[in-house]
Amino acid sequence: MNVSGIVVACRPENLDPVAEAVEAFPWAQVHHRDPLGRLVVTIEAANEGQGAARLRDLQQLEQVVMAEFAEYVTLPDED
Amino acid sequence: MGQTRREFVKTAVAASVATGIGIPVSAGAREKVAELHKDWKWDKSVCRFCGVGCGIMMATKDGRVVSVKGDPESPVNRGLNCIKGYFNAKIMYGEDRLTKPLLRMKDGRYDKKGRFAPVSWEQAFDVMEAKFKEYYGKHGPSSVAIFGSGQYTIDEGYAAVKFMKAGVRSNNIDPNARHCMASAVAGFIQTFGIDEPPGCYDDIELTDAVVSWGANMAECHPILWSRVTDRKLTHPKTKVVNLTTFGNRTSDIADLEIIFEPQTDLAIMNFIARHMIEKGAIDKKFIDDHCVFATGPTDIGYGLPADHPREQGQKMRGKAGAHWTITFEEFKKALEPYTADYVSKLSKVPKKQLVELADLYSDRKRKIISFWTMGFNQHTRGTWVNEQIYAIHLLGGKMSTPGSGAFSLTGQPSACGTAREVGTFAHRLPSDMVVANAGHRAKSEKLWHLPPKTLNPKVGTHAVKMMRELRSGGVRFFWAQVTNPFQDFANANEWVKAAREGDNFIVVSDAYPTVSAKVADLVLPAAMIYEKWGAYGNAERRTQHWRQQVKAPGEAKADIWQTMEFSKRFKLKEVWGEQPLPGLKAAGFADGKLPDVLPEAKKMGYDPEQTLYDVLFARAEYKKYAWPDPIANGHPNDVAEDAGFFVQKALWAEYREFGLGNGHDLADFDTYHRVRGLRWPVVNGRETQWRFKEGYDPYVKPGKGYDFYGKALKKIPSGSLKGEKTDVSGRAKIFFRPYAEPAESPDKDYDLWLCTGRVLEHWHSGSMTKRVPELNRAVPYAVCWMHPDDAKKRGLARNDEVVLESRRGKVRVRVDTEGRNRPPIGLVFVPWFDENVLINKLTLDATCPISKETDYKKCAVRVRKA
Repeated sequence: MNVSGIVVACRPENLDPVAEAVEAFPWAQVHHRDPLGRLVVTIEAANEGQGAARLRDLQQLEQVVMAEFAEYVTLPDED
Repeated sequence: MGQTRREFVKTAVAASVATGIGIPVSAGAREKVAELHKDWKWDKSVCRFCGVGCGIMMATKDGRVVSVKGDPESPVNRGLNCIKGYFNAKIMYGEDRLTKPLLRMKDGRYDKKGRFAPVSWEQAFDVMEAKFKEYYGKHGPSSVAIFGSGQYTIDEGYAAVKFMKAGVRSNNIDPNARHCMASAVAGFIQTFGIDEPPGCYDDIELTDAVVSWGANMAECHPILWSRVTDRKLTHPKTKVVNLTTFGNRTSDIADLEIIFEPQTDLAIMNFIARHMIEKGAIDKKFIDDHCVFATGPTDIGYGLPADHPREQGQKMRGKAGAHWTITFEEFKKALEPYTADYVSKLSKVPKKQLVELADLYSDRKRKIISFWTMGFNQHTRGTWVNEQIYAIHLLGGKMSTPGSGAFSLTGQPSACGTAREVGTFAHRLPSDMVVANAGHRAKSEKLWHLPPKTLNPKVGTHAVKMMRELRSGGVRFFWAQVTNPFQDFANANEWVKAAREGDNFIVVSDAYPTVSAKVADLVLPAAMIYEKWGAYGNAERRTQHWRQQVKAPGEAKADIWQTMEFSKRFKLKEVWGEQPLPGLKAAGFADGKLPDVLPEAKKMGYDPEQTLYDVLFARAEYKKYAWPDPIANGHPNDVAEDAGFFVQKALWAEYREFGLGNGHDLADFDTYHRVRGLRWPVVNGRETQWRFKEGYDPYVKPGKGYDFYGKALKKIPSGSLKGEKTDVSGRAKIFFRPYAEPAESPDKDYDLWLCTGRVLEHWHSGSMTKRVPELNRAVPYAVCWMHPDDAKKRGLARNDEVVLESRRGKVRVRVDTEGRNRPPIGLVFVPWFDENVLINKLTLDATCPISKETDYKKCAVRVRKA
């Protein structure tokens, strides 16, 4: 299993709708919100490739102006 | 339990990321981060890819990399990674990694027509030495060449230059940065008299406008673009403009997208300058105090062979870089034809957009940054267009000032740090010095402990010429290090044929079997970035060092080891005696030959039986740098283990001497292992954010405000090329340069423009990113992006396979009419990362005649259904 930490940026006034749109994906979770317009999100994926594809889904959300990887962890499959 | 573990990991990763970007987290969350990382050994490193120079943190466990994250302490990327950065560790683990030297063999011996067979390093060097000496003995130093890289670590580039220039006395070393940054270099030298950007990335958070010219930053410099995005979000006044020859992702956040006809950026620049003068928007005091106006000849050709029809009547081909001062009135008059009407017609940009752009530069209260990369540099007038952007910023007094400046981005991780600062070019020596200057040679000979006149004063063969000489027989021994020339060079069919069919010997050092490796006669397996110690210098003059993290597989070896090992094969008596050098004419040298310096060498205590390794690398003062060293903090160093001393640290100490006190000061080796890079000049432990500006740059004396103190090309004729010499020291030059036609344009036979470039997921020739399965799956092959109307007109649909051809070659490729790139009618875009779509078979090897950099952005092609 792969867990990626992502920073998502949007206009500060769009923080709530963007967070809602991110959490609509079953594999994404919002952990921290910065009033300046940043969210810290984790993506859960079977592997890095799926993680990368899921990042692209976030990048394509309306009102998201930037989403990039910050950190990843690969865990053994049995986890 | 699995659920709990997963939740724990997610919370810990999120807390780690939040902490990295300055969002406070609870003490409990911090504990979870510590728990997650407890068995891992973290160390700072840098990204392998573009010139942005992002810091990464790399975790290793049991000799393998287990995690990579953006370095939260890096001032460049502040904890973020783009998708390539994210996969940095995976580039080392491709299935077809080269682990043994491979030599073309037949009947147990080297044979150019033979098939690759694994050999020992000893056998590889035996054949390499024999071939080198065969050609060197017959034809002298000009018959051997190294094609290097903007991806060389600083120490391996330094070692290669030293081996070639000081050792075998050949200036035939040139990097792939010739294809990438040479026009930027020439623009800097001509305008400021010193290389590299005056400003830095901090400008982004201080500016009011960002104009991207011929740089798809959203895909090619994504982390820097994220900073631009952040600025736009948090500073609503910020305007973003994307000037490009096709719509792309950089337009997504732009207030203004300007699509212009290829090559007409030259005219658009002149319109902006004219508009600024007309609106009274120039900073007269800044210009009077710190600038001078200049221009140069126009009939300078296109860098093609002399017998090419395009070169006929171009009388100033040999003096393309010459220039002279002019008056402001002459400058203004030269701009007169560049009206909105004329430029709009030429560029196909609506007048309204041209005026909107020019108004941004004319707004005296607005801070503004211009960024560019290959759209400017890979241009048959690349030097001119670089000079023009400085002209606009200098006219407005918006240069070297926090929040304002023209900033040349780099494409490779150490195009600045190695190719430029070390000087792995055919004309350069370290620290902006050049081989043609007797004083520079003398200084280098002193620092390198060489007898006088060891260094060769004749400029060597630049990259494009190197390939042409491989064809003509001028160059016969060719060694490619950290690059993939037979995929990279324009007009590739010619060079592959020359390499395979000529009387020559091609060595390629690489980690993977690239196109170039397949063309080679000998392939040497190379260690990759995290398998060796090294340093890179990024686009903002930031020098960053890293430690070796893991071992290279099999018998793969660091490039610096390969160069030093090869240098053991040469005795001084073989290279420091008299050498033929056809065409040499220089003061103090007999025509056509380099002198015998062995008598002088003996006086200096050298023995002709000593090897180049002894005198260039294994010097007594080098050996004082002992290995192991506490700065390693337990990390391995295979090169030092083998040499018996701390090679990288010793080379750094010597290299650093070149820059001290002349504007290129670097810190000591250990300091760089304690900080997240420093921007040179580093004086009294302090880095420099804005060069040439008082208060920031220690080289600018109080009271001056600005001082453009670069020393090169400051004594120039006034009024005309034959005018009296004038000294413009301390001033920057504002060049007038006219519009000039492209080398090749679409016509009835080849009716489309071809532009080449990158996509986000792949880097350069794809030799690394194609080995990362996730990146390869995301973009598995190159496509030909074209306008839907162009496709329809030719009866083509999306995903159709087509033959794309120019006068030089053809490829098969699939068509795309949707997605991230949106070419206008009449232009197609094909990325060059895919060796199965070898697009450089089509491109034209025309260059900027001043910088010798190839124009990969413009040639004529046609397309038909396959």
